[in-house]
Amino acid sequence: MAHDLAQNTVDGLMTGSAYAMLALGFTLIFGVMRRLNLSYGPSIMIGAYLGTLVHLQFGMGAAVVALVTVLGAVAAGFYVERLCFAPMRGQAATASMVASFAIWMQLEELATLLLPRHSYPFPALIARPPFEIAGILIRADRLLTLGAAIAAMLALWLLVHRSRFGLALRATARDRATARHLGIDVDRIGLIAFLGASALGGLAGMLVIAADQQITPMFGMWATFKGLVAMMLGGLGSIPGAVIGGLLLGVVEAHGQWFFGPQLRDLLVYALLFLCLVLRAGIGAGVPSAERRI
Amino acid sequence: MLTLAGIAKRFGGIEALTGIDLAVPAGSLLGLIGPNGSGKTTLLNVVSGFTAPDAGEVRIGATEVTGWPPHRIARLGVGRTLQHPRVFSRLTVLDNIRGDSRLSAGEAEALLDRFGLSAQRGRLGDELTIGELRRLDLARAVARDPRLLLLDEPAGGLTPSETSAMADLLSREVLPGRTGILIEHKMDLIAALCPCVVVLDFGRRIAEGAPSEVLRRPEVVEAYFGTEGADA
Amino acid sequence: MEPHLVGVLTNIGMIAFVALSAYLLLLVGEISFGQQAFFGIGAYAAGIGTAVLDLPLGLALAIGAIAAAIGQLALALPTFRLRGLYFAMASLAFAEMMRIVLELTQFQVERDGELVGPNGAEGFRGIRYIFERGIEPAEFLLLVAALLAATLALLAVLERSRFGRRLRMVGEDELLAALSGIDVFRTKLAMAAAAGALAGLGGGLYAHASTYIEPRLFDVMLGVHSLAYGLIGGLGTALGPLLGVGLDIGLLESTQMFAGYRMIVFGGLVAVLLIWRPRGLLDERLLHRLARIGRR
Repeated sequence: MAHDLAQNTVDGLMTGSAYAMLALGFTLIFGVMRRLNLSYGPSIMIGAYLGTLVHLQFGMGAAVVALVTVLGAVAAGFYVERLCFAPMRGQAATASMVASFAIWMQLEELATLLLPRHSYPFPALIARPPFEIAGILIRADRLLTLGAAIAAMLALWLLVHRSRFGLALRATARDRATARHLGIDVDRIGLIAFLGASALGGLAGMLVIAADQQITPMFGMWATFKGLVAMMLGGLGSIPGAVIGGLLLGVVEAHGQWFFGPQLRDLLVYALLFLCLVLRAGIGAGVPSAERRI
Repeated sequence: MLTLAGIAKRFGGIEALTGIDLAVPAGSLLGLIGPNGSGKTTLLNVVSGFTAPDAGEVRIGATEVTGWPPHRIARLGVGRTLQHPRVFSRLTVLDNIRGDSRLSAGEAEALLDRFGLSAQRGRLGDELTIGELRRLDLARAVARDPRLLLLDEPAGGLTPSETSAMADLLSREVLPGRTGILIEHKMDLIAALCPCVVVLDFGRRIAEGAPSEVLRRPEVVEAYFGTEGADA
Repeated sequence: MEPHLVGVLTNIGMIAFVALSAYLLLLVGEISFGQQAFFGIGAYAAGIGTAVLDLPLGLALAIGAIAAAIGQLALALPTFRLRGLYFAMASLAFAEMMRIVLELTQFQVERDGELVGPNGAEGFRGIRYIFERGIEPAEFLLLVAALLAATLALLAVLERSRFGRRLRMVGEDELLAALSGIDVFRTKLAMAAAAGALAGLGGGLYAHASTYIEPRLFDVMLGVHSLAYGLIGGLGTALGPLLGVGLDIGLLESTQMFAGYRMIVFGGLVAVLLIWRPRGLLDERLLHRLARIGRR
C-alpha cells in the first residue's frame, strides 16, 4: 500500500512535470497578454507532426526530430500570434480567444492532411528500460522531463525577475498603457513572450510524445487542456504556481487512476479545478486582481 | 440626511480611512477636499456600497445602509458620478440616460435637453468628448431623481470655460432640492457651491469649516503642499 | 422538400438553440465554454421522458428545458461572482464533470422486451417517439422552426424592453449598472435560467431527431462552437447567432464546399472576421446604424 502510494506519487510527479511546462507556456502568454491562447496545444501538435514527417520521410533521428518539433511549434505560434492576438486591441480579449479556437480547428485539419492515419510512431529519446531506486520504478525519459521542467521554471523565473527584458515584460503585464508610455514596445514584448512560450511548449510536447513513442491528432486538445487546468490550479499567472499546479495535477491523476479508474480520475480533476476556481484560491496565489478601479 | 460614524477601511497595510465622522444635513452640499490619495474616493465608495468599511456606520436618512450592495443603495435614492466618467459605449446617449429607470423616451429627452445633450441623443456612448461625457455622467446620476448625490470631480479635465458652465449646470439643474458631497480639486468650484468643506489627509479628517477659512489653516496648507515636497 | 435539405435545416434549428443560449450569457458579459452540458442535460432528460417514462413529447421537452435551467442555475450560483476567464474555466470544468457523470449514468428499463434508457458511455438508444408516432421529418422541422421562431420573437420583444437595456448595461459595465440601481447578480441569474432552458430545449429536440445520443456528443467542441456562432454572427441581435450557425452548418458543412479542408477555410475566415469585427457581423454598431436609417 505504502509502496503503491509512493510509486503513484513519483509517476504523478513525472507526468506532472510535462503539465508544468505546458502551464508555464500558458502562464507566460496569459501573464503578458491577459488573453487565452486555445491554439497552444494544436501549435505544439503541428511541430510534432512536422517532426514525425521528417522522421518518416528522411529517417532522421531523435535529435533532429526534436529540433524540428520545437521550431515547428514556434512557427505555428508565430502564425497564431499574428492572426489572433497582434491585430486585436483593447477589449477584444474574447475575440482573440475565439479566433485562437478557430485556428485550433485549422491546425488540427492541417495536421491530419499532413499525416492522415490515426497514429504514427515517434522516436524515443532514451530507449533504455526503467531503473529502480528504493523499490520505485523510474523511467529515464520521464526523469529527463522532470529535469527539463525544473530547468525551464528556473530559467523563466530568472528571465522575468532578473533581466532587463523581464522588467519590460513585467511592466507590460502590469499596465500595458503605462509601459507603452515608458517607451516599451509592448507588441514586440508580446510576440517574444508568445514565441518563447511556443518553444517551451514544443519542448514539453516533444518530451511527452517521445516518452509515449507515438502521436495522435488528439494531442492538441490534450495539451491545451492539461496546460490550462494546471495553470488554473496554480492560481493563474504565477511562475511557481504553474509548476506546482502541473505537478499537483499529475499526482492527483496518478492516484485517481490507481484508486478509481480513468473516468473518476477525470471527474476528480475537474471537481478540484472547479473548487479552486469557485474559492478563487489557486495554490500560487496568482496575480493581483485586475478589476477595474473607479 | 447622510451620517457617517467612525468609518475605517484598510487595504493591506494601508489605512485608507480612519475614524471618519461626517454629517451632511438635508439640502446642503458638503465639499470634500484633500491631496491625491487622501481617501476621498474611498469614502464615496463606502457610501455608495462599492467598498464595505471595516468599522463604522453609514446612515442615509434614518436607514442604516452599512454593507448594503451598491444597487440597493442606488435604489434608496443615491446618485453617483465617477472620477473617470464611464458610459455604456454600446448604448445610445438616450438609452444611457433611460438606463434601467422608468423614464419614458420623452422624459429622457427632456432631461438630455436640460444637460445640453439633445444633439447627441442618437450617438453611441463612445463617440463623446470629455465635456459631454461629464454631462452625461451627471445626467445619468440624476435620472432616477436621487435625494443624495455623490459627485467625484465633475469638473475634472474640463477647460476653465467648461468648468464655469459645469458650475452653472450644477447649481441650476442638479443641486436644488438635493443633499450631496462634492469632491473637487478646483477650489473656485468648491467655494462657489459648498458652504462647508471637510479636508482629508492620509485617511483622516484634519479640518472642517467654511472653504475660505479652512484653506488658510496651516495644517491644510501643509497637507496640500507639504513640508517635505514628496507629500504634495 | 428534399430530405437532405430538411435534415440540414433541422440541424441548424436545433444547434441555433444552444448558440442562442451562449449568446444570452455573452449579453450579460459571461463567456461560457459549457453550454454543451445543458444541451446534453436537456437531451437526456427529454429522452428519458418519452422513451422511459412514456410521456408526450411536449411535456418531455419541457422537462428537458427545466432540468437544463436548473443545471445552469446550479453552475451560476457559485460562479457568477467570478469574472471573465474564471467563469469560462469553471463552466468548462462543470461541463466536463456533467459529461463524465452521463458516462456513469445507468438508467435502463425494459420496454417491449428491449432495454431502453441511458447506458453509460454506450449511450442512450431507442428514443423513437418520432418514428413510433409516424411524424415525418418535414413535420419535425416545422416543430423546430416554430419553436425557434417563437424564441426569436420573444427575444426581440425582450431586447427592446427595459429589461433588454438592463442586460446590455450589465454586460458592458457591471459597476455602472449597479450605480443605476440594477441588481447585477439577479439579472445574470435570470439570464442563466433562460440560457439553460434554451440549451435544454435544443437538446431535447436533438435527442428525438437523432434517436440515439451519447455523452461524447456533448463535449467541449460543441460548447466552443456555440460560443463562436454568436461572435461570428454578431452580438447586436439574436439573429446574430442564427446567422453564425447558418454560415457554418448551412454553407460549409452541408454543401461539401471545400471538402477535406473545410476547417482550414472556416477557421481562417473566422479569425480574419474577428479582426475586422470583434463583436461579429451583426454587431451593436451596425444595428444602431440600421435603426437610424430605419427612423428616417
